[in-house]
Amino acid sequence: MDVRAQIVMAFHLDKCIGCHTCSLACKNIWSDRRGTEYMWWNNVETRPGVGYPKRWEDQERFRGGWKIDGKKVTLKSMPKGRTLANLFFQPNLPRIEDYYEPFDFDYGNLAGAPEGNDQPVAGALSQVSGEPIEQIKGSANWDDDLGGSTLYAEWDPNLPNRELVQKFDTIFMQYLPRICNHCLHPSCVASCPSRALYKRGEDGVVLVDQNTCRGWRFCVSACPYKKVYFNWKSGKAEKCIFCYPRVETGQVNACAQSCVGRIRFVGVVLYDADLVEAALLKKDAELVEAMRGLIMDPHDPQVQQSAARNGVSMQWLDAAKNSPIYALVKKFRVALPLHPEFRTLPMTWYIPSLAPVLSVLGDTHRLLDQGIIPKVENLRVPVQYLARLLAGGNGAVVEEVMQKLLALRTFMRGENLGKPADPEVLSRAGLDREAALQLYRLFTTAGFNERNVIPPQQREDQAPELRRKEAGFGILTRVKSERTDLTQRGGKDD
Amino acid sequence: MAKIVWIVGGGLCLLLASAVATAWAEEGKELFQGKCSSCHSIGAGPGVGPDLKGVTARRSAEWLVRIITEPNKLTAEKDPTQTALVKQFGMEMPNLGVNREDAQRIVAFLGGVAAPAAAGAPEGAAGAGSGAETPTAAPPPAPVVPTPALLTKGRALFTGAARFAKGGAPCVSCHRLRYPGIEGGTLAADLTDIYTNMGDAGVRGVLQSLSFPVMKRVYADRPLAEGEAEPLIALFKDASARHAQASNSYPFIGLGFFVLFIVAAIVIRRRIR
Amino acid sequence: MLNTLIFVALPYVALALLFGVSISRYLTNRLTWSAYSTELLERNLLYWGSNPWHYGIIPLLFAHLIPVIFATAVALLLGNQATLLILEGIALGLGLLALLGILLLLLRRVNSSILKRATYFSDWLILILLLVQTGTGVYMSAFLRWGSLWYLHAAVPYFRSIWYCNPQVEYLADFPPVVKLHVACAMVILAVLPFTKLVHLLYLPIDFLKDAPILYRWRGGRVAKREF
Repeated sequence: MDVRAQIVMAFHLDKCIGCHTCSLACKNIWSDRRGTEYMWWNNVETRPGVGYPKRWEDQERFRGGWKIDGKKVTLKSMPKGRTLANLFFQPNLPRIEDYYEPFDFDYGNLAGAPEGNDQPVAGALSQVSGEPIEQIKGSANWDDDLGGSTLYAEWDPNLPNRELVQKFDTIFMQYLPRICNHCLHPSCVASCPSRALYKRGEDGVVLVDQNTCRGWRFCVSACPYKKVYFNWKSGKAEKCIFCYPRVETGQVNACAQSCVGRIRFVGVVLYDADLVEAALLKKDAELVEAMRGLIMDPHDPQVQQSAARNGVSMQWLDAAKNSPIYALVKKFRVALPLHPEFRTLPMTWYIPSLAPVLSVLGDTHRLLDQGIIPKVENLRVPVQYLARLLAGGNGAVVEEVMQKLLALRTFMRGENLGKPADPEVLSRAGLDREAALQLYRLFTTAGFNERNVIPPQQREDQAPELRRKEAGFGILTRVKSERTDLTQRGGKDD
Repeated sequence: MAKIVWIVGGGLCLLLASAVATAWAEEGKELFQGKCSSCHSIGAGPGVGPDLKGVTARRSAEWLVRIITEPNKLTAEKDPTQTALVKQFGMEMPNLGVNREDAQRIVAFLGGVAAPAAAGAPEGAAGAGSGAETPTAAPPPAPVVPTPALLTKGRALFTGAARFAKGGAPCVSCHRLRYPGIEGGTLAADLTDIYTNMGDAGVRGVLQSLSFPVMKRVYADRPLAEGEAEPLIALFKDASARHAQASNSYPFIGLGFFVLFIVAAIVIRRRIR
Repeated sequence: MLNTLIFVALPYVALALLFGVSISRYLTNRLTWSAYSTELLERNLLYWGSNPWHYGIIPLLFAHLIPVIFATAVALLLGNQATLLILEGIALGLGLLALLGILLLLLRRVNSSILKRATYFSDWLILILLLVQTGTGVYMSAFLRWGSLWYLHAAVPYFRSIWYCNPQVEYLADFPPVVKLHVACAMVILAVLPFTKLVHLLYLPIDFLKDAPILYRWRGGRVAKREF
């Protein structure tokens, strides 16, 4: 048993209103520099839709993630040896058009245009070349709200049947906010020839060491979620850093902080690294269950001991016990990983959306047995669609979650209207009254500190010599070099 | 008063000048033996280049200095004497990188030595560096007779299949020789006709000194060893007799590989979309 | 005078800059150590530029280094006329490939408006220097053959004399101007290398080949690689 801590975000998709406030909060803090204009470390996609970059889920094209190769998993893109041969030209790298050519507007022209007969306009300018753009062809959310064309929705690789989005009586729509998943088995880390990407041992955040990165770009194509970006100005890879400067000081991520719908939960889970290898080799359909199996019960004394051996502090253990993520993923089993079949073991979890909570138009489109709440099989959003998105194609897993969510709705509707629902509703879905009330609280009235349980990082405890003389009164002398101190310390740690 | 100073000064100058001339001639002799004697004799008849006996009477000192220091320019200027010489000897005298002062020393030697050299043995051939006294000492070696064994060895030495004992560069590095089984370089002169132009003694002399541009430094520390000149002379003799057709497959091999690489790139491009 | 400049002053200046600036840049400014790829912005021409260039120039670079280290072995190898012909043929093919690549890389920068702001003076400088270098190289290979042999017997002893701090200019002084240009340009490239994105060639990413795929780092310097 090798128990480690991982800081995780979960999203309640039913509550997402697609306002992009998270994306803007993220961009304003992290990616408003030259070379990063096109990057959205956090983005919100309309589903069904192509996403950002366009069709990122199509791994036949981008070849991200892992594949099972006999008794082990290997990178889907290329074996290590071929990496060297592809240094000069990366066959699977997305182009800027797959994201979009970032643009700004020539606002100066509005005030500064010479006098003339026409109203001056603010033409679009490329933020890459500075040249005027005749026609803006896309952006990170060009397909927002199924807008513009039915083609965007039809191109969704998860859609079981294109006709679903072509007819008004079957069409459905929901939002999917995405950040870097800070995977347990990150393919970006594995693909880097310079070994610039790494996973932080303390909290599992995946980072790019900007001093080590040489711009070989393999991480960009290896990430199946396309959440590592190439900064064309600095020539290095950049990605979501889980707002670690904020999280380390007890603040929540900018995207979660700014979330209007309060859809995000941040918390700690403990997982057993020794089980990862076995989990990776499971069939696509069994992956969700295997991933749930990795997450350990923080109340189990054995788990606590193993965690302590790995340097997980008491405060982190407490945070793990109070973790909303543990409740959602393991206790109530309502959160699912995004595309587990990419086998990176993503550590962002999604409570699937039932939106729109409407049945398909026609015979069944009337008040149904659970008040106005339709049954799973009558919902507009096809189980198979969500299964491809969140469960490696396993419809049963998604159905179990949807049953719970619908039962919760039925139950709470009854409670609030003073007409208690059939108690069987909950038990059939695998819930009880207490669980339902707890889930209801998490989903609705839970306060900031219930939704986000962020333990202190105790940097001062873990490597005090790095902090020494960096603050306080007197003559400030920077510690000579981080590296020498690190190596001295390394021996003691091991 | 001033007159006396002038006279004394002039006398001193003359004295000094004659002393300098003598010293120059002495140094010039060494230079001549090192750089010129492989091709030129003094009074022994023309070899690879003309006999230089009394050359100072035929040409001006300035012209002689020029042909030593910059023969290529002289040709480029279409100097009539030079043009005639090139025509007569079938080649332009190579630029041996002699500087102007040394050239003047050599000319001084040529001017002063005319009499003693004439008094010496007239049959003194182009034996390079044969003696410090006069370039007349050793008897000329017998002309090389090409035998199959000699030719094989010569070809091996020329192409580098057999390395020169002292590590010198194989001739093929820079020289062409129209001969079966030899694809020569094109940096320097074509050696196919060298034997016709220079004759046995000339070629031997050249091989012994090898004091041409580029070559002089490359072979300075690594001259040909004993017995390595003969196979080459034999080879040159055979080559000039055969006058084989030049084969020049090299650029096509290069282009062929280039096309091959491009085809590979096209195939790979199709595979990776 | 010119010879002294090219064959004595330039090499030592270039070597001093190469080592001095590279080391100081590595120690103080690793943040800018990158290959500065523009594949994200333009990739159609890049395939035909970058691949031919790198696949052409890297073997040729080694072909220039190996004789300096293994002179005798190379002399034996090149003694065979057929081997010489094939090797020179491959080298000429690779040279043409690299020339095509560098020409396309240059044209790509000229033509693509999207690359305008991603192109700096140093990019133009090295593109032009490398074009001159490759162009003279191909010219010599085609018209002043056999470069491999005279390089071995004239340039290699010269490099050794540079190494032993006793530069023997005479080895190269009488070569045609195109050869001198090739040498001078090589020295200039070495000199500007640490100031430009060419530094990427000083870092060969091979460590990862033997590493386990997942890299963990702990505060306090502990590093672990896991197989999973």
